[in-house]
Amino acid sequence: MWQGRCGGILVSIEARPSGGGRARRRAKPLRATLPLAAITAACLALFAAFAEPGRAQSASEPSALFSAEDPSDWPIYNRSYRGWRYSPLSEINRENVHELEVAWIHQPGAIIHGLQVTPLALDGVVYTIGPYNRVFALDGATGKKIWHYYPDLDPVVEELFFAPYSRGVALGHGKVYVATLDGRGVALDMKTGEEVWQTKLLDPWECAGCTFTSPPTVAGETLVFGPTGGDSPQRGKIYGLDAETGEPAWVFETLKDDPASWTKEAIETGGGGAWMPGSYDPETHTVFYGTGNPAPDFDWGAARPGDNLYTSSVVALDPDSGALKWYHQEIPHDLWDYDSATGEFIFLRQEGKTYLVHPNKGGFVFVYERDGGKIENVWPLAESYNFVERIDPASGALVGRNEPKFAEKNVVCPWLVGAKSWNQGAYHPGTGLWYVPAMEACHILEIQKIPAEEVPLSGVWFGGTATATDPPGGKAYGRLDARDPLSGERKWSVTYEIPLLSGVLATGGDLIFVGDLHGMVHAYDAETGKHLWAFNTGSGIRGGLISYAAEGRQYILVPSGSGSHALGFFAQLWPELVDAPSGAALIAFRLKD
Amino acid sequence: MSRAAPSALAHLSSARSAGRVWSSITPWLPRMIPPRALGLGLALALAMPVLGFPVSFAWAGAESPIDLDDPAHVAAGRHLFNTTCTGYCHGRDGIQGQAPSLQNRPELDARRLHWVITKGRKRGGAVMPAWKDKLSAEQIWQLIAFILSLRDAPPVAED
Repeated sequence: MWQGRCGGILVSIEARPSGGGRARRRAKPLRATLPLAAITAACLALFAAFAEPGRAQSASEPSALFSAEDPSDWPIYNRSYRGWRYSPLSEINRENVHELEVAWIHQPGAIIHGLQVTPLALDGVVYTIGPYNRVFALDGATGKKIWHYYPDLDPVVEELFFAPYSRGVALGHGKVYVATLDGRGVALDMKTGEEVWQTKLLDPWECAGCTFTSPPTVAGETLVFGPTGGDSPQRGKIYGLDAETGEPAWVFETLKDDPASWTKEAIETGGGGAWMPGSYDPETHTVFYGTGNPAPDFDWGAARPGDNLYTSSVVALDPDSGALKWYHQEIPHDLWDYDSATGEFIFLRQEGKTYLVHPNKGGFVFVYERDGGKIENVWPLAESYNFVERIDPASGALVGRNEPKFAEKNVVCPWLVGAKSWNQGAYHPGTGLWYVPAMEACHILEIQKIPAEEVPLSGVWFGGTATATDPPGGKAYGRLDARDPLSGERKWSVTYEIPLLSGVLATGGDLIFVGDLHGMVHAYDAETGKHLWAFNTGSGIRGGLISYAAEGRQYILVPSGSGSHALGFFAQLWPELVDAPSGAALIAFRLKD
Repeated sequence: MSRAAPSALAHLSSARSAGRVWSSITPWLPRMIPPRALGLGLALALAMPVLGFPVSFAWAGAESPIDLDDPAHVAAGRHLFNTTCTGYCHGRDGIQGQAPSLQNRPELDARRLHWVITKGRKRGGAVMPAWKDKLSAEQIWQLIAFILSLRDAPPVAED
């Protein structure tokens, strides 16, 4: 066990041997490969072996931001480019977690659709966003507001379906970047909150109400934006801007102009988009996105013939040009609303290769080689699925497609909220496990033939009506699984009556934190799943939990405030949610003094 | 506010011009009152005799242009409801979703339904959009016809 102080923070590392007897595909805990001398000499280089010298970075954007080398920080959406949602901080551990107390609470003052943010923390400052794109910079130790920014949003925002929430902001180049509900990219000065530039990217009136609900992704010198798309009759794109100036740089069409993929008519309303944050890899200078589903979600038979590339796909793009490096379409000719837009790419290294672990909404987890996209494995997270017999683990091909039929009541599993929604799991390098929320629920689908022109601005173009139902022979429920990310082997599960819609947090104190829809935030032992602590925040948790340090103390930050459209379907199965209160409160916990 | 004859108010459409008119008539009045308030006050003052004092805020728009009992309109409303309103918010045929059930609710009358559909509403953290400019008047009344038909019995399960 190595312990040291790193910038005033106590950091502990236990060297865990990888050991024999584990499944061949098991990811090695990374820290076991580091010599102690290197750790002692450079306390900030905790993951030095992983952060190889790659392509030279611009002087204005140190790779440290993406590597999150300072354990105090949570500078990007999934904390570091590895996407683990793992904070190395260990002041809070399994022995003292019951001594957590509330340090401060911040309220954005607007509660429509709750608080869906994953906040960020850099140098002791917390950056967060609330409903109606209210952005705040807060002192991480006290919660005191340093600055706020309320954009003057176009009134069209009141008409949009996917509004008024945002999943976060992005940091880079001394700026805080916001993707607004009315379709703009805005850059704010990180210190003052003053607007530096803004660029209009979307006109919601012209794209059937398309909007930004997620932060952009800083990819070196480029800032990448992905809008909503799959449920609207429009042509979704991914946009690249110059991160320094806001100048438009490129556009990537998520709908491939190819007769094998789309007819000329269908492509104009084919949906797609990429509505969750992407993941930038500084080692290979690549930005990865999961794209949205094609529109209409459900096809009456001839709405959109073709494979519908690149919807429900993983795309790897060159941030400088937007060029496609590789792609894999997880769900070809998607008929089930199984987006690849889950905002989660877990980067893992094993035997000299780097893999991406990527959950698709339909409940299958795809493991790719990062370089080139070759499929290493595909495994089912869901217990109940009937849209395919299986997915071939070597090729990713869907075997035994069970396509819903028009004019029939189709029981479809998993339901359109997914076996996996967009709330991220967390990977703990000590245990080598991925802690991932899962849902078991189905829906009865009746496909409808609806022309695109009939879809009003505030509506969605499903092409069907879905009524939630229990899985055949069972009851709908949720789990938090501790799984080997490469093989899918399950170590333990915690079950919940109502599935979780919160992001998961793993910490160096060997704790797993997650929130539920009753508003309880829980802490579990990362090794055993034993429940160690809970706190009632008063409203359901839909955002992402993070940990950071300020003034030498570790904080657990919990966004509380129930929201999101998923609850519409949840309420069909769990009617108590109809009256469940929304809210918006960012709650910081720290150990008693 | 009931619709007044528009011509009486047309020249006061700009609050600023109303303020100028007012200022020229009453130079002795303090200028602290913002022109917009003056304009609105002047408009109301002039409108009152046209409307009939006291001003009555009759509910305009609660008059249906269609026969709400006509099965063809009820069916059209049902189709529109199940393609536009269901899924994330309302359940199929008005069963409970995130919104409470619309079935067997005798208190839901045409006036209330028209208000909510056209203006939308907020309830805690949930929001129903305003459909006034997105659906035609006939479509909105067809929805009302369908929802009114849910008062006594759930719809027949076919279609």
